Amino acid sequence: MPAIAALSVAVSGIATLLAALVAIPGALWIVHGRSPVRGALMVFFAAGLGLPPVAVGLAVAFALWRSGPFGWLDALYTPGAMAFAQFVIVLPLIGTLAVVAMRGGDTTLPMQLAGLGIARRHRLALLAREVAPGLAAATLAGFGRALAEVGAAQMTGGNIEGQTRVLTTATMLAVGRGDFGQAFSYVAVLLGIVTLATGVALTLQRRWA
Amino acid sequence: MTARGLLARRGTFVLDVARLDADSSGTAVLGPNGAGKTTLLLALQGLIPATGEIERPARCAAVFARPAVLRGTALWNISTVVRRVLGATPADADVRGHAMLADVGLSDVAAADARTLSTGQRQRLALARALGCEPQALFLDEPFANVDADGRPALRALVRSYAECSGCALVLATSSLADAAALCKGAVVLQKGAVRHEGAVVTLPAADDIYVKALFSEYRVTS
Amino acid sequence: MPNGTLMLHRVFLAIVSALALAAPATAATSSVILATTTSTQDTGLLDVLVPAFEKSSGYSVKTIAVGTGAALAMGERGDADVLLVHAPSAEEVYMLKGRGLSRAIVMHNAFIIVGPPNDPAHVKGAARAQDAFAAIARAHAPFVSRGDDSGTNIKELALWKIAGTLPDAATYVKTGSGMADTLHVASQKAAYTLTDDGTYLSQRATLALSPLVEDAKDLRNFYHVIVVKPLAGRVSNEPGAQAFARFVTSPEGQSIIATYGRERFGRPLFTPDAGQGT
Repeated sequence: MPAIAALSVAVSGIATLLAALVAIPGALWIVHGRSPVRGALMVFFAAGLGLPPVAVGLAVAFALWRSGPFGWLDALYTPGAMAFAQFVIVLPLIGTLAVVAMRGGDTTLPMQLAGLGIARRHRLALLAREVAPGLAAATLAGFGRALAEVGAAQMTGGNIEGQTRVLTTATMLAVGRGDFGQAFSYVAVLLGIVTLATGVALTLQRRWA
Repeated sequence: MTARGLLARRGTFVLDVARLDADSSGTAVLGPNGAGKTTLLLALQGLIPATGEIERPARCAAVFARPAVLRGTALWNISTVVRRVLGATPADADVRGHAMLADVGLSDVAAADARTLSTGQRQRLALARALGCEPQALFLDEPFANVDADGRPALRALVRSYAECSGCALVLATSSLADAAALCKGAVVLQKGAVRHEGAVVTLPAADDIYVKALFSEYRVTS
Repeated sequence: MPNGTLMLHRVFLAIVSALALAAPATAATSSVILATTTSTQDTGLLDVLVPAFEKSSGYSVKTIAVGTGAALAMGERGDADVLLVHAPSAEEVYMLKGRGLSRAIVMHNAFIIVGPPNDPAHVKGAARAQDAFAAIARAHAPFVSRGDDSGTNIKELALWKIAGTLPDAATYVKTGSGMADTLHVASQKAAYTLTDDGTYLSQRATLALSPLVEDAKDLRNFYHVIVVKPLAGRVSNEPGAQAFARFVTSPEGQSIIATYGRERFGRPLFTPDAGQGT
């Protein structure tokens, strides 16, 4: 159980972090950039939100099968494949929530801060501070979604004991075997992790305020 | 501060001001809505792209018509700006913050979240924030629009005394001749982005220009 | 676009390209992909057998449990190195397609027919499963099928065919699920179903079903190990696959198979068959 829980957190955590590293600058670009191509990225984020995770899992597995275009990577049934699938699933979610966070609030704030004579680097720090709670919430939402994902995790990971078994796939296996007691313990741990993550995010938020 | 040959564009609006001077005696920018008062102030501060010769001091501060606040207490809004502009220590900045809040009458909400303040309170806060930075030029855009009539005299006196003590240049954009009269000596009247009339504030109601006369014919001096 | 964003995008692209290029393009790998069925995995035998193989051979095994159809398809595409399945007719077709280097019998367990304790179709004690199926059809008794092309499902459909009769369409239910789920559905509906004895034994406590036909000869479930023929230019691990096939048919592997189940169920689940021909 501890190994399975740790793997869940590691895979979903890394996937979420990478997704945030891409989605948040992307959102910044959408909100403050000047290129006309920005609209395309926003559409990509919004469309990705409606994409069923299992479809992503199938696509990634299909690409990574030995018979698939990226089979030579020999990357299927690894935590890396699972993390990649979760990265794709979570990226649009964090992106759209980040855009919402950045668009909220006073749009003249950057100019008003400049009007007070605050240097550019300080302005950026203050503006970042303003959106930080919204971005934290976006990332947390992404983490929750990644952690709870089962279809893509099964297809890309294979639920291999000691290698790619995570809480969600282990739960499905336990249910399939009729071992409901075990299934409930996995689910309880999953809920515990999500609660803990939410608690951590809320505490950080209060400290920053 | 001085500006010569100022040309700025904001969307489809074009601002064309040949000359403008301001010092601690105060220059008011008057005119109806849409005449370009805000655009002129933004151009003078260099916050929007403009061509022309503009000379302004190193440290300027502005109060916008709809002030934006940061996530945090009212006190923090002032102290964080003071720290970054003046390089003050956190302790000193807090002292300055309390002092400014007292000056604008916001001492009782010092610890309140700035986002919960009313518009009038925000305007007071914005003024406190700007003055707290010890600016050498002060740009005020309708700074008292949402402050109740009872509170305005004290705030006007605050700005006036600061300008006199520090010698900072004062530019005030307003549609209220009362504010202009209390704070400024000189005035510039804008019409559709160009200067229509220049002169002392007190001479405006009796000016020859029919446009200016129309703007201020209803004016009565109230203190 | 803010400079920071452009930088970040460039860095990300660089990382992805580096990963893509750095991946080895060799055809061999140290992992062995074993495709097997969910019911095989559910018996728990592989949890003992596979680690024993890994320990003695040094190979690392990735056990992927899917439906029989999917397992055979994986072999066809070269997405697996070795198969452990129990659907002889489908396997024979597979071997005819030339996708297997070898096929050897490993073990067998038994299917049993379970049903409501009051046995309305009177199948108890039938000598042949096909007779029991005919009786169920005649009595219009409810029957629950896995309906998922699993080995169990293929066996069930073959039995209906041999019995020369079809079950009552009104009460024939396809669950499309694994064996344990299917048993629970049958229990809820007081219906008959075909199951492997291992899954039944593990679910017994929560089911309202009784074993009715247990020792019929036509209910033997034979498992074979197939070494997949690697496809040119693809990642594969034929040596590892051969080693696995050898291990499960070796005395050591066979003895693990012969004793598995005693602790959990009181009796072994499988009968080892290696070296006894197909």
